[in-house]
Amino acid sequence: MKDMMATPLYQQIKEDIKSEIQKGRYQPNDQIPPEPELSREYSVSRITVRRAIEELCNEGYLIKRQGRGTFVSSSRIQRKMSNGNKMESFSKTCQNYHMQPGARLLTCQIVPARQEEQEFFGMKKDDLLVYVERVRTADGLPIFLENQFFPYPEFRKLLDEELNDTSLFQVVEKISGRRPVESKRSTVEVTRASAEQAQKLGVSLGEPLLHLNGYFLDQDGRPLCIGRQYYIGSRYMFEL
Amino acid sequence: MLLDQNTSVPLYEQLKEAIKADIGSGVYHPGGRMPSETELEQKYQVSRITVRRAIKELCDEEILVRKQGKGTFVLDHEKYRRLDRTVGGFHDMMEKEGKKITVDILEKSIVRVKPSYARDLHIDPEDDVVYMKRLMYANDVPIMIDTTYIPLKKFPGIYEKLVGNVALFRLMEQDYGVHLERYYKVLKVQKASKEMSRLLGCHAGDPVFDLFKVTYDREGIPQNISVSILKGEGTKYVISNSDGDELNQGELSWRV
Repeated sequence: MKDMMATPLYQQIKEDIKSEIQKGRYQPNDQIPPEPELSREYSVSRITVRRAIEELCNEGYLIKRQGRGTFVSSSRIQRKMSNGNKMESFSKTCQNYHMQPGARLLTCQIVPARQEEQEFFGMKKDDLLVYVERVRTADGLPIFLENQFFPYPEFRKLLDEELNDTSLFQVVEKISGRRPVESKRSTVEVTRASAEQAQKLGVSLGEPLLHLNGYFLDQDGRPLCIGRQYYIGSRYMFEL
Repeated sequence: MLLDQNTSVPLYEQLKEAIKADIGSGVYHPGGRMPSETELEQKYQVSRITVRRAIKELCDEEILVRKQGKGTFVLDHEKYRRLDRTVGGFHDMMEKEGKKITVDILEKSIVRVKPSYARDLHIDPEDDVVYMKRLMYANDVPIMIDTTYIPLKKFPGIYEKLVGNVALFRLMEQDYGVHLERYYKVLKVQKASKEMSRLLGCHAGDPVFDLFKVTYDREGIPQNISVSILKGEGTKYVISNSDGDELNQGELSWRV
């Protein structure tokens, strides 16, 4: 190991393994050497190796498979995607990374507006919303679950539009001339994937998700839509 | 460009407006250097005193910034998130709300940081950095694990000052004259390690927030890196256009 002053040993090992993964020496789904071997390779104790491995598992780089060993996570590399309030579409972000954006429509239907939604849109008690649910992918890999709510009946036409593999905001602009410009206040929470979300995203039950809520105004400052997105935590991070 | 000597609006005010207009129209670029005082005197046909006052006030208004030995520059606001001016660290916020803050310093040492951190801090990988890991409590409830990396070169002698319930940002501002202004932040979720779960009072494997922050001074020079880990449950990160981001946990709320 390099003689670095006081960087904890387990941290040096972590960085080394991480860098091997990023350089491709360990491929996704490769098994990494067992603890005794790593311990010999790095000339450190097994406890040190174990700590490095544990942290890499928590950060999503490695996965422990009961009884079989530790493997490189199949879809680990976290992407820094600009988010926050800049309304950069996911499609555009994918293109920055030379990945193919995709969208798979799960539902498009009319639902009643709940109180918080009514307040944002300035609606009355029995007003309705158009609800669009899609899984967004990059190179075919699910990245997040997207639920968008638009006022009804203004956006009734969404029910007839092709919403697979298209930019929803482009369709919205096409039918209404309205463009999402900014979210005045977005919130991020972390949650565990429910059975339904896990199934839609292809992850394990309880997988950590980043839950982003955005309240979008159009170019004239009028409420346009509410977006609730659930990102697979190990595949995404927000640059703010 | 001539200013009007005859109106009741003071010349330095007119000059301020003229400079602002020139910035708006692109004569001076964000991040670009302003002409010297002499050049400004000639361009606007005013005295040096007038130029000096206008520049000083534009610096106070954070439209321009003076960089020691280098000149006066137009502030580039687009690059980083703007912090509310009154914001400080965790301590300031909590104290405003009347919450008792206590801190356990878990680890403190001098280290060398990994290459990506050295890049973010604009230091050499061989430079000494103070590494400090703290557990912050509000009203005796553990709220977050805060790990900070402070380059010793920029803050000589800071190692000995990091004791007890130190409010880091306040220390940097008061003892080192640094004006902390902007952040670059990356927000992620992680699974709580055994250590995190023990410190924060959650289960190993629970989702936790991981907030990575580089703090910059008024001139855009990085001052430190911090990584904050918070329990996921009951915590909300609020991204706001106008007010600056906030973390909410139960009834606690503070700017980040």
